[in-house]
Amino acid sequence: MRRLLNIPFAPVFVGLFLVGATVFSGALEPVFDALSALGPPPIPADNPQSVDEDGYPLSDDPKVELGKILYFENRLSGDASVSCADCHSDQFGWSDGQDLCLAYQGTGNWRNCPTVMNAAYLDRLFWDSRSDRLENQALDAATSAVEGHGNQEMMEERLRQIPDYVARFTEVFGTEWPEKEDIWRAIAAFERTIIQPDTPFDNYMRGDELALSPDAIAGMELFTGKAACIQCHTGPLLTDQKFHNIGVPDNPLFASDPLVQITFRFQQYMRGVPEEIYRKAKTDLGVYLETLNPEDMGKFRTAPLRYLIYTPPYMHNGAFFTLEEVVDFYNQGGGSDQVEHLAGMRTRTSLLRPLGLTENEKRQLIAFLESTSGEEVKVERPVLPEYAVLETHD
Amino acid sequence: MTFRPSIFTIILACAASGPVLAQDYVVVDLENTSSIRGRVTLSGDAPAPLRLLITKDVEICGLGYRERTEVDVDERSGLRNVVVYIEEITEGKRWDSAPTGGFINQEICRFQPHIQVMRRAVDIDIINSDATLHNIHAYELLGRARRSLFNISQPEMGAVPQLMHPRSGNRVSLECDSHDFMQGWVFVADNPYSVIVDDSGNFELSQVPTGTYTVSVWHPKLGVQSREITISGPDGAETNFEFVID
Amino acid sequence: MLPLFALALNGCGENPVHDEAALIELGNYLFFDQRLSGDGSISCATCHDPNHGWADGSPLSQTYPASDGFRNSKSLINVSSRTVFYWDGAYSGSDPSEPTAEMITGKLFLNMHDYLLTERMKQVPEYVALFERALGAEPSFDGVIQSLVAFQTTLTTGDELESLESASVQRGRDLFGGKAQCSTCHSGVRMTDALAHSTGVPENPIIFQDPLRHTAYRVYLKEHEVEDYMTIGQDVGRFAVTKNELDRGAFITPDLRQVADTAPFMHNGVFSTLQEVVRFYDERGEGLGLTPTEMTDVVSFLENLSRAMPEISDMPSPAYQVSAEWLEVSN
Repeated sequence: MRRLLNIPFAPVFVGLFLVGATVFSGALEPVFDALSALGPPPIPADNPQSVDEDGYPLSDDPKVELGKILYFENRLSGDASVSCADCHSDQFGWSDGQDLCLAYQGTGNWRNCPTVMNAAYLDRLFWDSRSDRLENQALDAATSAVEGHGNQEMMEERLRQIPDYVARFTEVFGTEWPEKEDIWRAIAAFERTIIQPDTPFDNYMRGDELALSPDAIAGMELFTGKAACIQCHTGPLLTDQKFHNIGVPDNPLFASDPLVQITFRFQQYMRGVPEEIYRKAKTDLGVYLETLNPEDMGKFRTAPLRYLIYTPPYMHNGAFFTLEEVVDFYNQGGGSDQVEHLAGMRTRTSLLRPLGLTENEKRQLIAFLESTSGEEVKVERPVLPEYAVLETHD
Repeated sequence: MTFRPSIFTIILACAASGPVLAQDYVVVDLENTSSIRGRVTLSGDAPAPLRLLITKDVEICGLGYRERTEVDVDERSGLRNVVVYIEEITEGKRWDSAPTGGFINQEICRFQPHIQVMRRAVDIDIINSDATLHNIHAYELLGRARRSLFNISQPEMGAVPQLMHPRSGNRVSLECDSHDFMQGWVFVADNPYSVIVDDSGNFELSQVPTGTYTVSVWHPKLGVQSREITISGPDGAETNFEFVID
Repeated sequence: MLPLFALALNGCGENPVHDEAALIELGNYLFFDQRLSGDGSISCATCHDPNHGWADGSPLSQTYPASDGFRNSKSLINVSSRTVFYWDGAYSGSDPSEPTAEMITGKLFLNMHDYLLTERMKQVPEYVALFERALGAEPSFDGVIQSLVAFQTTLTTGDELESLESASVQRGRDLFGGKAQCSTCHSGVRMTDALAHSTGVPENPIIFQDPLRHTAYRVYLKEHEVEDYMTIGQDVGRFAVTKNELDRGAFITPDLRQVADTAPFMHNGVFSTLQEVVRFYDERGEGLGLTPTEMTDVVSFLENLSRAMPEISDMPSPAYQVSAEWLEVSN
């Protein structure tokens, strides 16, 4: 079986801790996780797949191969117009290169597509963390009215009309005919191979002192020190996976694109917000839509900071097209609270304040941010199998 | 032979004070122009065409697979579908001597032409020639990112006007939100010195005034290359570009 | 769990009608508006086309894209006087609201999410104004259904049959109620008994030879929980709804009042002409013993049933708009 990667068996962790209690005296947040290298991804017991001796998923596993074809399979969408690969494209860093993601035709999207790269490591998926595992995220997106607009019964019957899929599902899952639950298992297994635990940053953290440039090393010190990014961007994924309102400016398309406005209202309505909020909200309320707790208004899950070179634009609404813009945003102390009038309280985090970074420091910070990206990962586009006529009896 | 500027260009040269923007191209009467000629080639093997299954509207788009050649070469490695252009030139020949398309046609589920040069900020027609819905979605390409330029749903045959004006940059990709196997390209030019290579990868930028310019070539899949070219006399300049696939 | 105001927008119950004409006008717009479908590609008029007798002129209807149909599209002419809907009689009663709603949300039909449709309506100022005039309310899914039902009441040609013209038509009428035995099922003013019968119409083989049609048919069977649906090779008809073996292969008798305008014929469109239909009935079972002249007479009578169609035209769909005061106005 082919190894996906060449990873030393016993990664060495080098912890770096915040030297910043002095910088933010009186601010909160006690203990921070260390930055560390990325290990093998978690694999759920109910969806096993082949792994190498270090636990990294292998790509020549029939379940992964099936999942890869399904990832590109536009017949999973209602009108066969879109597949996972259209919004999470390997040509655009496993996202889609836009501020607001591609939506189902005739509809608009209102958020940036998170990248699939390394999504396997996240506890929860989506900017509002509403999905608890890859399998469910894929199902949610594929059946959403503004994304895949697919229907599982239709998907199942289409797959059953395609002999190549029938054979693959039987081989992988042992069923006579493809069953809808297994679609998501296969796609998730494929996604668990779209990982990158061997970036320059990872190699440095495992002991290769030459893996990072001097600028990037200086940037890492800023990250955990003066720039204080480590307050939220911690651990091997550089995210605490918690929710913060940092005051990202609104995307102007909310005010100018009718399809985006339709989706904006639709989302609030679907998630059951109170009428007053439905009528008044003009900004994305983030994880509030999941919890309906006003304290959560405007908060989004901290983004993981890997593969950044390939995934502009950044933030939940793609507000920033370059890392320079991102750093400038934090350097000024983040943005303003846009939800206070709706929440009845201030939800913007108090963890941000102006940083006073010099131009050179900004440059170094960006060099570090880029070091968590390895080589670009692309896959060979699979050939979709054809329909055939099925036998029937009279 | 020396270049004798006309009185017109002298006036313009005096008038220009601030930074010269790409949009500030001016048509002038020209003497002593010549051509930049050359050929674009590929070194290495072009990837095999993509095989994209037609999963809807087969009676219009075709049965079976659409072969999409992303890197097209002739038998002498001439690279096709490349745009050759001068990056910044403030004055020169008329626009009508340069290709300036006026439409994008969706026919048999293809964008026709597949790649074309358009003048910035002109009105064009988006035409649906097929008896099915097409949903053209154009993007301006911004490095590794892109921005939606327009997104037009056309359930029926007919033409819809659209302004072709990316905010920044020249490179536009075309997709169809209904048929994800469709792809096309547009180069939005700021000056008339923008051409598409011929079937063998040859190009000629004609009527270039003497001077030094940055000449670039753009292949939608292989990227951009640029170099400085100097025109000093009536023989013009000859330059070739090579893209390499390992 | 949706809050109470959600019910007002999309939930239960009809809005009181303030202006019937405005309601019909709204329904007219919506009937032709492709944004009632999920991906904006088809409208009601795609399969119920005024240029094809409010059917579509094809043996088997199309469906939402990337899928294809297995039944003939039923004409909507005189639909408001029906008491049973669909070839399989899935809905009965005089209120077409339920089948209309299913036509919008059904995955084989317009495949539209009801709440998303409401938000689309709200983005069109002309529609917001029409909803206000017609129902005194903001756009809602229920309001959409009400307006389409109101519009459908205008798709009528009247109940009365014209006076008989030619001798052939008169003979045909006598045969219809006599030797040809048509009125056994095609009875009454509406020329249907509204019951399901299995008449032995031949299967349309392309359903099972066309992957898209066969897929759609299996989706239909699966939703109706028909066992062994993977390999069934016939159209089971009303059996899918009732699971009564007597209903296997049985279809609701269609209304014949505008029959000549709605070729092809039968639940699967296997007959392109009325001559073929009459010949089918003549030859089935023990046979009716009709002469060629008699068959022509029956056809003449059937053709004579057609009245003038209502003059209703396609309304160009008004565009989405964005308010310049978006930040200030209520959503």
